[in-house]
Amino acid sequence: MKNIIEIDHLTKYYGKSRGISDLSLSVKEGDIFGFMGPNGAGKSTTIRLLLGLISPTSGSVSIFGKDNKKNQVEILKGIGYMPSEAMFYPSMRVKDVIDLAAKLHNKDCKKQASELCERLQVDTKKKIEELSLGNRKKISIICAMQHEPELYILDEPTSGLDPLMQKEFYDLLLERNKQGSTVFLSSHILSEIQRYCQNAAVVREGKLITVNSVEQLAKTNARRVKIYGITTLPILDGCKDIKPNHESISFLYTGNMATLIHNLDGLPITDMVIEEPSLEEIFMHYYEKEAN
Amino acid sequence: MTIVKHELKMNFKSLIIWTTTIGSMIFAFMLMFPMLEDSLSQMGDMYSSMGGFSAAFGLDKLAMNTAMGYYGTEVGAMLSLGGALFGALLGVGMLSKEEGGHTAEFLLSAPVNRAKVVLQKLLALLINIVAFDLVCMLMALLSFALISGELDKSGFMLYHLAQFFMHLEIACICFCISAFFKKTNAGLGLGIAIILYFLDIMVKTITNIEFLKYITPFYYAGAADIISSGKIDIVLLGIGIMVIILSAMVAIVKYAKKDIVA
Repeated sequence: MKNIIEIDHLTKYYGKSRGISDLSLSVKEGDIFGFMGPNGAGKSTTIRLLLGLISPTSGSVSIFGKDNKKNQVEILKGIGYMPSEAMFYPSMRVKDVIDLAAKLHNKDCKKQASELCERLQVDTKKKIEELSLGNRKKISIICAMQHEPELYILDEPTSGLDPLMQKEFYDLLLERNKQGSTVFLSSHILSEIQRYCQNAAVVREGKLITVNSVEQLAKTNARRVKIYGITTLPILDGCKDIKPNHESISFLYTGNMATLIHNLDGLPITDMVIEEPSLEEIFMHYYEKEAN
Repeated sequence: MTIVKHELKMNFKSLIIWTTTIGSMIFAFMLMFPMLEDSLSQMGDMYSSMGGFSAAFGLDKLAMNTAMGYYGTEVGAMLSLGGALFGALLGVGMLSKEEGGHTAEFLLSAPVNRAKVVLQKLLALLINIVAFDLVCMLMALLSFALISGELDKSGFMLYHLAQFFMHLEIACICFCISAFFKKTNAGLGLGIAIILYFLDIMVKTITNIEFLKYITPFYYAGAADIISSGKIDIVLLGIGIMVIILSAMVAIVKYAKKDIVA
């Protein structure tokens, strides 16, 4: 399957401060691609580079197989973008904003727009300045979806939406995805990524930490070990995130199991649990700086 | 043309407020002329011989006791400064309000070439200033008719043409500057207009700084010179038009490459 987005050694500095550095990844057609990372990791910078809102310091982006610098307008025709802050002209009415977005795309989207307004329960007569963040987000969804783009670029799309609307939004997105659209989804919410994305990348401090299928990312040979009866550990390689309690000790173990058991021999252990770490734990491990 | 229409809608209220205010002030001041005519005749000699003060307001070249002279010296200042402030405020916000109001992402993620965005905004700016100047001119014409004042047609038209270019030039300078900023800085726009206005007064009153007339567009748009000589200083107007074109070009080039961060 062909690549819809191809990011090649992309670097962006704002003066001396880092945006992203040497980021390379690709997103395949029909994928729902998760883009994760802590605040300030460079997620929004990457998205702005994809859209051509900012120019890279070095490296390149190609979307739909075309260089995004030379074919920006053509590429933007096929993109539906939801910025993280859904801001519109405050004095305008909702229907006028939706209409303006359609006109800027040079497309008659009335049918789509009214269907989306109905599903998202948007009051189109209200003024933008009267809307809450959640309601502005809904307008943003409509503006991103009404022209039926091939590629959705979504920057934290569900923040501010209530759970029912989040579900409606993902239902819409999955429908569009079934019809062949590709989705690039930046999010903090791991459960969203795990539920909806096929592949995902993690960025931290402007660098790509890992990119893989969500299934593979969630799979790890690390184990969460909890031992009751002792509060200190024998010196052992591969122990991370060691949390002593007054009756027990818990840690992430990535070393050899036989070695662990051998080292625990003779200790006053009353009980012991070894389990797969939660996805949250795995991502915390990616997010956090190496402690040691 | 979508953005032109959008901009016209967004600026419509401010256009109405400015044109009504300045237009009706011009109108009201002209209607007062018949009542003031006699006292102005008596004071005319005094006003025209007050040296620097007279020169600053064109009283050395225009007689205040004629309708045309009164219009140029007393009423014209309102059109000059009012139009300059309107143009400056409009120009300084046109591009930067998108980033300041965080709407730039909405506008510029749409499939529209950046240079075209700037051009359409410039066109909206032009239309606003044409509308402002046209309404003010019509209000002035109407007031001349009502008081049956003697109208020097060619002087009047040339004066309003020069005023239009001056308003446009200030608007374009502010528009160009705003391409470099991330937030709308209304104070900067007003400052530019007011400084250029005072430069004009300084050129007319202080000797040895005549070169400043090449900088301030208020100079070529002054009523006294245009109405008394019956022509616009073509060199100065030419410089003004060059500044307009250059400002527009710099704004387009700058904005096309600008990083839209907020």
